[in-house]
Order: sequence, then C-alpha cells, then structure tokens
Amino acid sequence: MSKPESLKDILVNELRLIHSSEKQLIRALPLFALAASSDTLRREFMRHLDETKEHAARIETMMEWMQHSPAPKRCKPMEKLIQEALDLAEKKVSGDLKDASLIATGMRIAHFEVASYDSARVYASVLGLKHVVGMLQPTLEEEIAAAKNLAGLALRLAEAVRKLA
Amino acid sequence: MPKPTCLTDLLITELQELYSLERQLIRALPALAVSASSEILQRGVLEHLDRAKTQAARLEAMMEGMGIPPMGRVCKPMEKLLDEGSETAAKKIPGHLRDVALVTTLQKTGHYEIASYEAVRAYANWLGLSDILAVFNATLAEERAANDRFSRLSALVVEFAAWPERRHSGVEQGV
Repeated sequence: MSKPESLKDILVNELRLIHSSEKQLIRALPLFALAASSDTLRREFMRHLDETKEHAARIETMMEWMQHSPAPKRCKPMEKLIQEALDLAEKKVSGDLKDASLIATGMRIAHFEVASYDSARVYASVLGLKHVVGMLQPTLEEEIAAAKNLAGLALRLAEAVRKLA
Repeated sequence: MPKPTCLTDLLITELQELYSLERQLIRALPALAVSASSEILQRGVLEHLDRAKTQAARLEAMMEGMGIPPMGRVCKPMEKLLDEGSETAAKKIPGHLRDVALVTTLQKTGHYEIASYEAVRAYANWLGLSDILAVFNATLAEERAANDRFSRLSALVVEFAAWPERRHSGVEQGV
C-alpha cells in the first residue's frame, strides 16, 4: 500500500484488496464447482458464487460513496489460496479426496474473507461511516455462514472419506 | 505436490504446511513487534510469537512421532500476508497508522491459522487418530481464545488511530 495518511486511507486500501479477492473468487468458484465431485459441494460453491457477485457490487457502491475507484490492487494472499486449491483440483485424484481438499481450502478462503471484512467494518465503524458499516455487516455475516456451511459439509463428507483412509 | 493417493497424504501435507506457517511467523514477528508504536501492542505481538514457538515445537514432536519430515512445504498465502505486513511496517508513516496495519495483518494470520488447524483436525478426525485429534482440539481452543483477546486489542488500536481524523474533520457528511 502506498503511504496511508489516515485511517480512511487504510479503509480504502482494505476495500480495494477485498474487491480484488471477490473478483478473483468470481473467476475461481466455477472451477471449484467443476472440480467438486459431490453435488452438495458443487451447489455450495455455485451458491457462494452468486453471493460473491453481490459482495463485489456492494464494495463498488461503497467506494462510490467514498469517492474512490475500486482501482486494481491485487490481493496476493488470495491469489495463492486460489492457486493452491486449483493445483490440487487439476490432479487426477479420487473424488472424495478432491472434495476433502476443496473444503479445507474453501474454509481457509472463507476465514480470510471474514478477517478482511471484519477489519474493514471496524475501521468504518470507528470513523463513524454508518452507511458503510451497514453494507459491510450483511456481507460479513454471509461470509461467516459460508465458513460454517463448509464446516458442516466437512462433517458430512467424513463418513465417505473414512473409507479412503 | 506429488499426487496424494489417500487421506493420510493430505494430512501429511497439511501438517508440513502448518509447520511452515508457524516457522514463518517465528521469523517475521520479532521485527513486526519492534515496529509497533504502542507498548501494549508490542506485548500482544510477542505473545503471538511465543504461541507460534509452542505450536511449532508441538508440530515437530507430532511429526517425529509419525515419522514425517517436518520440512518440504512452504505456506505461500502466509508468505504473501507476512510480506505485505513487513512492507507496511517498514514505511515511514505515523505510528498509530502503522499499528492499524499491523493488527490487520495479525488478524488475518490468526484467522488463517485457525482455518488451517480446523482442516488438519478434520483430517485427523476422519482418520480416527484420536491422540492427534486431542492435540488439535486443544490447539484450536488456545488459538481462538488468543484471537478473541487480540481482536479486543485491535479495536483499541483502531479507536486510538481514528482520533486525529475525528477531531479535525468530523464525520463525512451523508455517509
């Protein structure tokens, strides 16, 4: 990040990084869905894809309010997270094994998003930007729910996966 | 990564990546602690460092017991996170803003750690490895508690950082 001069600069930077993450996920989630062998997991990725498009749109709205462009700002940790998920998805391994790995990476991605949105929300809240907080809060809740869904899927996959051990 | 053929392969990869993650924290946190402008934040970062050392030792012992080499994986997302954090810590910006960037980095690394331990615990559970499962349950409880404590500290740091802006400009009109 170029030198921030205020907390608002830090908030804007965080929103740009989040926007980059969401755009990267919009491209990656269909690939995760394709790689998934369980229908439930595939549907969960597609469901999250719809949410993610909405999340990206919300960031664009907030940036307009704050009179900043989303402007390219690559989120590199997310790039690596997605890369790792896709590296495995490409290999010819058994479906359940692939699903186990996709769920694990999905949980890491979800946690990363929760941390990012929570940070942004705290900055906006402390700066008194109520409308921004109001828009970040539902996204944060949806990301937390997505993490929980994946954890639930992990439990359900457990029985099938035990046979692989 | 060579093709995993069974769940145990995934567990091994995950353990090695976790170990790499903790080692990266051990390397990066001392400099980040020094960059903190508030003493209480510095202590928070050093606590994180102590925990990383404990977790690394735990993972080493576990892998030794299982006959797994601890090295062989680099956790790349963590590498990027810490690189970004270190870059910002080195910039000549006001201390209170540097602190905000620091707590953000540590929130993200903290969440990443929790997610990784959740993944490895899931694998241990699936494989029926109850001893390992017990260790990770304990680790997760510790990490979550630490994350909660650090969140409260972060909130204070951010409040403090917002003071100058709130005093001078007031709140944005209509936003």
